[in-house]
This record gives sequence, C-alpha cells and structure tokens, in this order.
Amino acid sequence: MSDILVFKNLTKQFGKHKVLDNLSFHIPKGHVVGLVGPNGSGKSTIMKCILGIYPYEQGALYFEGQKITSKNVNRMSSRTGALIESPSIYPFLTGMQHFKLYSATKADVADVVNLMGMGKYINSKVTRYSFGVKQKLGIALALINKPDLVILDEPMNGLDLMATLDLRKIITSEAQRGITFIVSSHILSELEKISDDIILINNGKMFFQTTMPELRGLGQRSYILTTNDNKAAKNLLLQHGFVVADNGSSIQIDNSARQLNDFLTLLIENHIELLDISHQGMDLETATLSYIKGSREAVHND
Amino acid sequence: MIDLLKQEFFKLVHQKGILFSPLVLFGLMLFVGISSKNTGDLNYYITQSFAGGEWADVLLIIASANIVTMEFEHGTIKHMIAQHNNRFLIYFTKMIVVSAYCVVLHGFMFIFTIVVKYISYGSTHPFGAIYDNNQTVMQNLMTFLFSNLFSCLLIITIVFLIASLSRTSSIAAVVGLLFIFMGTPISNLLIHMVGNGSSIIKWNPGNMFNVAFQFLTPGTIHTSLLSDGELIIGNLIWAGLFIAIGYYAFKKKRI
Repeated sequence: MSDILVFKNLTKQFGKHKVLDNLSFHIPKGHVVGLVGPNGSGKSTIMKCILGIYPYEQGALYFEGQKITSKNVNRMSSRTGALIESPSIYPFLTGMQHFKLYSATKADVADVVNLMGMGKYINSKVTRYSFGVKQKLGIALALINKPDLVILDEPMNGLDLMATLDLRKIITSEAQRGITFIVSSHILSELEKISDDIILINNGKMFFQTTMPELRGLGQRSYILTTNDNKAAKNLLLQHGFVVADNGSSIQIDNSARQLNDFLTLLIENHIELLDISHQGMDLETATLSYIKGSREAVHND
Repeated sequence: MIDLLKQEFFKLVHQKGILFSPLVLFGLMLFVGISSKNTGDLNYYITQSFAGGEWADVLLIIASANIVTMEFEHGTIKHMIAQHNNRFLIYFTKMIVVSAYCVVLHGFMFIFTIVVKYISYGSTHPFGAIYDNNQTVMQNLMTFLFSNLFSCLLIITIVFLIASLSRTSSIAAVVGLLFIFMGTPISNLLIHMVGNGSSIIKWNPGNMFNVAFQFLTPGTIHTSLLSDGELIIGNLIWAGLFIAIGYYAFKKKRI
C-alpha cells in the first residue's frame, strides 16, 4: 500500500530548542495511525507542520509522493481536515453557520450531520453546546470537505461513552472508504481499538513505528504459567535450559525459541499440575510506558 | 482572497456587537443632540456629527481589536492558516473588512446626523446655512466625515498592530483607545515643549490624528505644525509602517 504522507529527517526548532528532531516516519494510505507520546513530545507540532501552520528547518515532507514546500503546502493542507487541540469554532455562530462559513455543500452537510448525530442542535449557537458537542462539531468540520487525510488531536476529549463509541465507528468506516487518519490521544486503550499503526514519539524523536499486530506480537514471546508448585516448576525448567523468571504468584517463561510443547511436556512428565497459562499481554499502554521509562532511565544513566 | 473576504464578511455580520453598533451609534448621537439643545453654537454639533466621529472611533477600535484577537482566542487561526496558507492575506483581508465596516459606519453617521438634527433642533439650523470656511453646514459636515474617515486608516492599522501583540481583545481595545485618545494631546504637549516647528517631533503618530480636525478647522495647523498635504503623507507613511510591523507581529504570533 502506498504512503499518503512521508516525513524524512524533519527538524523543527523554536529558537534553539528542537521540538522535532530528525523525525522520519510514513503514513500508509487508508490507515488509521495512532500518534502516541507524552505531553510536549511534539505531536501537535507534527500536526501543525502537516497543515502548513509551522514551517520546518530541515528535512522533507512528501504528500502522495510530492515534496511539499512553503510554496505548494496548500496542495497538502487543502486535502487535509483537522481538529487540533480544541475545536476551531466561533461562539457567535451556530453549528450550521460554521458549515456555511466553510462553503460546504448542502448534501455534504446533511451527510456529516447525520454521521455525527448532530441534527438536534445544529441550528443552535455553539455557546449552548456542551464540551462534548463542541468536540463533535470540531470533528464534523474536519470531515466536511471530503479530505483525503484527517488529523484528530485528542478527539475523545469530553466525549461520553456513546459518543466515543460513535466516533470509533465513524473513524473505522471512513478509513474503510479510503480516508487516512492520524489520531493522537492519551486514552491509549481507545486508540488501540481504532489504530492500524502506531507511532511513538518522545522529545521530538521517534521511538518506533509499528503495526498493531506487530505490537501485540511483541507480547507473545513469553508465557505466564501458574502451577501447583511454581518453585519446583521454575527449578525444573531452569535445569533444562529454559529462561524463567518469577512473576508474583506465577512464573514467566521466555518463548522466543517457540518451545511451548517442550516445556509443557516436561512439567507434565514430572507430575507438576498446570493451573493456568497465558501469553504475556503487550498492549499499547504497556509498550508506551516501557519505552518512555526506558528512555528516561537511559537519559538518567547518561 | 475572494473566499477569505466572503468568510470575513460572514463572520462580521453574524456578530451581534457589529449588527447593533449602528443602533448604539444612533443612541449616543441622539443623546448628544438632545443634551446640546440649550448650548450655544448648535451648527458646531451638526458639523461634528453629534460627536459621532468619536463614537465611531470607539466602535472601530473594538471591532478591529476583536477581529484579530478572536482567531487566537478561539483557536480558529489554525483552521484559517491551514485553509489559506497565507498569513498576509488573512491579515490584509481583515483590514479590508474592517475598513468596509468603517465606511458603513460613516454612512450611518451621515444619515443619523440628519435624523438627529431634525429630532433635536427641528427645522432651525438648516443644512444650507453658511457656516465655517464660507461653506454650508452640509459642506462642513461632509468635510468632517471624510477627514474622520481618512483618520480611521491610522486607527485601524494601529489597533491591528496592538492586537497582533496582545493576547486578548480587551487589552488591545484598551491600549488602542488610550493611544488614540491620548495620542494627540500628548503629541501637542511634546510639540509645545520642544517648541521647534522644524523638529522631527511633529511627525509623531499622535500628531497625525489632527488630520480629522485640520480640514474642518484650518487653525489646527498652529498646533500640528504640518500642512494638510504633509498630514496626509504622514498618515500614509505611518499606516504603511504600522501595517508592516503589525503583519510581522501577526506572522510571528505563536499558535
């Protein structure tokens, strides 16, 4: 699948401070890409570079294979819809007037209002909207002019359970129609449910870019085993060359060499009763936390 | 640019403050008209558009401060830049829209002056009567309106500059009001203190606001120490400078 967007060694500075540092990644067309990182890691700056709000000092940005410069940035930004930091809305206008302001056609407005379930309050002033409804309007405005790329910064902010569920459905269905999404969120469990790919950045540098199946696969390299005698099981496995560690009330067995049958046979033949076995779960939150913690420790050790 | 202009006008006409500003202007002019009935030179009030110039300046300062800062306060500037990718065009379009609003306000001032004059003074003090500069009251009124309109160029450019440097519209409006209403008295004081007609001090921006008075009251030249032509050129140069600095501040404003 081709990439809609490619960052190549991009660097952005505010004064002497590097906000993005030699950043390279790619966004596959039609994918939902989760952008993850702690506050101040550079997520919003990445999004603002894509929208042409910030110029960058070094590196290159490609949109559908074409290099984007300050002269042709409109080629990219005109095909991008965005909700960044907070919804771009005027308090003196109604929801419907916002669509008129951005010259949306009646048919497109009807589609997006229906999609977002905003029919009831679309003709009310936005000052009467709750935070969640404002957020919905912001998302609707990002989708209104049929963009190829949609950037959503913390879109789940202020949304209740049902609205979050609706948003998840909308992103998934629009992505199936070929729209590419870049979504940043601190609600990692939610991001995990919608993302095809994950990009983790910290301090303006990229830690990794991976697909969700790959990320989940990282956790399948070890098993968590509970037996009627964990101590005996651990000693037995160690004697036979397995890599084993204590894991509270269970033991953790490295399975990178794929020896599941071997160690299960060994335990059963030695009359150790198996009570439970599972993969060690590697979710987005675990991965993010371990990488960020690792990075801080590395910095601390330096 | 056409799209931007359409969007700016759309936003302008949907703001209640802007929509009701002619009514506010009328109320204030009527108040001045009625309360001036028993004072001496009533033609003066008519030719001064019942202080409509000052009220219009205040409304213009508020509108100018708001049109720039609201985009940053509501975060809508991101959407504008993403859509148009040209900050100068955004800045300049806003200036055009406020200028158009200013022209409309002056049009209302003209109509309101006629209405308030008849409400307050009846058929006395006709517009055709000869008044200052051997011109009719109507001619004096028109001179006042056009000179006040011209002085708005400097007001708009200054307030846009202040708004580009400020965080909120209220700060921009207050600083703008102080600058515009205190600028001329402070300038007059400075010129008086220096007391040198050829001094560069007479070219200060505060002195440029005398353009609103000098066409109607030629004696103002003794205070401004600049001819009508020099005042016009000075206004244009300062306006150009304020646009350049204001745009630089707008461009560098952190989003």
